[in-house]
Amino acid sequence: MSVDPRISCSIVRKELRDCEEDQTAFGWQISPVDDESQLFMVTMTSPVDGEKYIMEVAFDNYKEWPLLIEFVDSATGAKGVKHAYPAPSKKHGGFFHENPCICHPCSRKAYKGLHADWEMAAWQLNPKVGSLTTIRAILNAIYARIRDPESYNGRMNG
Amino acid sequence: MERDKDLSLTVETTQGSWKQDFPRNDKVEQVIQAVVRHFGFAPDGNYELRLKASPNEALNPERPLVSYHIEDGAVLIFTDLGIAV
Repeated sequence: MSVDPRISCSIVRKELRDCEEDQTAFGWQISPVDDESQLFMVTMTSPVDGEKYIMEVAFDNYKEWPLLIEFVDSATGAKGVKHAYPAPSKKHGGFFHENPCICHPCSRKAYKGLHADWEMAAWQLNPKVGSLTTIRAILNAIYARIRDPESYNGRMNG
Repeated sequence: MERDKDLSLTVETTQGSWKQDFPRNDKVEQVIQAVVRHFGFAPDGNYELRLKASPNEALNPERPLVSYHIEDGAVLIFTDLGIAV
């Protein structure tokens, strides 16, 4: 069953308001919500090496479906290329997968090929999702990986 | 003695804030586990704590709180890194 786009927009706006303190504290840049295309953009800078990571976040059918998070190469604007993603790290496992995608039940792209065993419509009930069921929790999980000098390995090769 | 007094800490999470006293010699991991139990985070999750005043340094779970010279009333940030899949 599809979610009325107005409902998805309303949920996303509420969840983005919950990000405001982190946005200020960590310097995240979050674009206004595009109601028509059901997208917003997030830019985070790694405090380790100053690299900028840009994400395009599609929220059509949210929260029936998880967010479709795609990294965008800050130099070329290319979407979904390895170089747009942070490299995987031993400390934090394969969250940033060389597919490339975020390999976690909170990430719609992980359901395409990598985890055909997961049911997308039940993403919030997946026992592996933990608390990553809100935009704030997901963005914090991403940012924690690019600000930690012990685990952050720069950009993905390729 | 003042140096033996428990630390009153506030832990901020995406599920809310929690003010709680912890023995100074508790390891960071013990605080993480207490937060997991309090908010009902997944027991097999992957978590970290940071001082709000120094947010770019994750606290080593094996070190006791006292080793970071954490002051009474300090605020900690708890992050759910996601369960490894």
